[in-house]
Amino acid sequence: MLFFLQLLFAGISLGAVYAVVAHGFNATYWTVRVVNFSHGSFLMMTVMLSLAAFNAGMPLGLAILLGCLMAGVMGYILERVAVRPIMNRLTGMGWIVTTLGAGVVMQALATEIWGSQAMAFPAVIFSTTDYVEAFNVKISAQLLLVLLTALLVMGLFEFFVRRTLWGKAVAATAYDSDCARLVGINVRAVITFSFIASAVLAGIAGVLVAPITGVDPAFGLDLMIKGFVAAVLGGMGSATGALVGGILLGVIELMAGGYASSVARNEVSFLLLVIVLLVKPAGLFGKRMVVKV
Amino acid sequence: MTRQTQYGIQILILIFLVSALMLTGCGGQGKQNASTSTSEKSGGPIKIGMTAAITGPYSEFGEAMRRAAMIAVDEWNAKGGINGRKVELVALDDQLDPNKAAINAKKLIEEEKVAAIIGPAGSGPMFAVIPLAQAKNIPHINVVAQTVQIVYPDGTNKPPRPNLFSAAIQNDVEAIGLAKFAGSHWKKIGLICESTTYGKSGIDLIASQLEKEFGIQPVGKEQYDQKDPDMTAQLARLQKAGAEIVVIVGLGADSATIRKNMNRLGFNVPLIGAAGMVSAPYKEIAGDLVVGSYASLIASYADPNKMSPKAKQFADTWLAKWGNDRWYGPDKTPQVSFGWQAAYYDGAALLLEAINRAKSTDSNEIIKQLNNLKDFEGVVKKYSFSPQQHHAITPEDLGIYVYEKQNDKIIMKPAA
Repeated sequence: MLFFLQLLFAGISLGAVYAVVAHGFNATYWTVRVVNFSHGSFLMMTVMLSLAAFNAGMPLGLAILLGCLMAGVMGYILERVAVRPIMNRLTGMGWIVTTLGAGVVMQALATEIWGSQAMAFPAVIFSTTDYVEAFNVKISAQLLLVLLTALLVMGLFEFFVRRTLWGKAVAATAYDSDCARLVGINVRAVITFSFIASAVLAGIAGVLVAPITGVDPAFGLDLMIKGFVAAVLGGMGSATGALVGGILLGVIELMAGGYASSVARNEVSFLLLVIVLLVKPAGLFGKRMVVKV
Repeated sequence: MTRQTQYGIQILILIFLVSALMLTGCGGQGKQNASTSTSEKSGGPIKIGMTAAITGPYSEFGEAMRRAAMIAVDEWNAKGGINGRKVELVALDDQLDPNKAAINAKKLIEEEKVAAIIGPAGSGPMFAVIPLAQAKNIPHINVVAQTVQIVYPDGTNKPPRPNLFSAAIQNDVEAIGLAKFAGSHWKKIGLICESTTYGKSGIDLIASQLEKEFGIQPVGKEQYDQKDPDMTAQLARLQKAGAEIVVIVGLGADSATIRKNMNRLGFNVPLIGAAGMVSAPYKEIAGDLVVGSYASLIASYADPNKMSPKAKQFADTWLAKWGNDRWYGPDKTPQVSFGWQAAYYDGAALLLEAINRAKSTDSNEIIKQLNNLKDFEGVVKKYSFSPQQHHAITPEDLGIYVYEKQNDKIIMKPAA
């Protein structure tokens, strides 16, 4: 029983990390149906910039704030440079290559500036050996913080989309940007805003995870892929889906690793992805949407 | 077609793209330190080629190789060169990418006309360079790559590659050291490794050594992917199996994640490993949790008060040339892991000595001198090679060290 609970709680904690990453994916998916494949590099860049500022003598809180701010700026630049020109040409899939490319550029840049070795990131709020105990199982306080963040972001997003005017504008932009423009919505601003929000979310995820694993230029790449699986599992564009998908993925991974074998552990997430795409492509919470193409 | 089905197809394409990208490995563009001068005529410099991960994820090894070799080269040049000719190191960056390493080797041999090659800094690119170096019969020095088949393609009881000599710690040598220590102190041993060739072959060697010498079957054998943020599942299995010690083959950052996860699980048994356990990422990320972990490493700098004169001289030269870099460590005396850099230096130094004795840059002459090398005084040990034996580091040159906390500082001490 203890074994099961250990796996369960670790799975939920890990899943929360995936969920926060998945939330970031959703932000841009809502507005332009674009999945930002440089998301992982945004995680990494925020952490690296925060760390650089911290090492230069800035208080940690301020350094992280600066890092997230820079992430926002980078999100803005990404949208202007790598997404908007492509969207205008209506080629459909170009953004996959451009966002991926942007990620590779950021990774190379980070390697040049900070070197390629893993570095430690200072503890944010909790130290990595702070635990909360439940049913005789220790749960990392840092990971609980991630879970809390994932929940909070989900709540905010759900509130934002359902209750605010901006949320309606976002929904309208996503559904039909031309019509949205006709009714006076500043579509460009909405899109830009979504990229900034996505980048800042990536930054928050990065800063929360970095104290656990340390950071190097390839940091975020694997998390991005797992976050993507979580987003698809939960239903692309659904905030509730991102949370549930993330946690489900984390728990399934840990259970597969614990009860089957450690080799199965990482294969299981991709197997899951294929199954979801075959059986229910819209994901658990995704709305079926029929659009004329 | 509905948007939905199209979306499904899109996703699959994305997955393919992402995985393709990951497989090819995307890293920064390499810097090249190629020199433009070419001369093989006597009087011109003697060129030593190096291909190594000078940038990229494995620069920890490659850049250290370059720095160590530079010291050996400088020493000869300060003496007026070898047989009156200056020595020049031509170091190219391969980022541990086998393709780049092979191209670099070709460039070094055919364009730069180097007398010998050192590197690369890992088994993967090493196997990419070996065919060319062997076909051209270029003297080839290995200082990092640990796979046994690099030196002995048909096993250790068969002859080595004729042109390749190694100052690196071979996997079987390291496994003997780790297994000996684990097997003589504990009975229930758990094994964990990263899911790479390095990890899996390393852990298999340790397992077979435990079986052979102590008749011990490990209570569990687990693996993980590099950079996983959580290894709870694997560790919980080892915990359930009752492991009293965990032997790990993997990189430093992952070892730190494992150590932290063990702590969270209340799985407070020691962790023992090799290179990764001594690296800076392990110490930095795991923090105080490293206390009680064991690591095997070259023993030259085990005790800063008991350095051999040769070791002291090398450390002083390094400090003067490169300062308190991440390999030397922050203190006046070098950190314990500096022993590796000593082996990198020894590899370059023994090559240059062989060229000196050969009195020419003729490949066959250099290889003959390397084969005849007896008791060459290096930092790590006295090196001897023979036509049957092309590796030098033995389990006796390695020590097992344990992390301890002393006056708020974490230090490594020889393990009892």
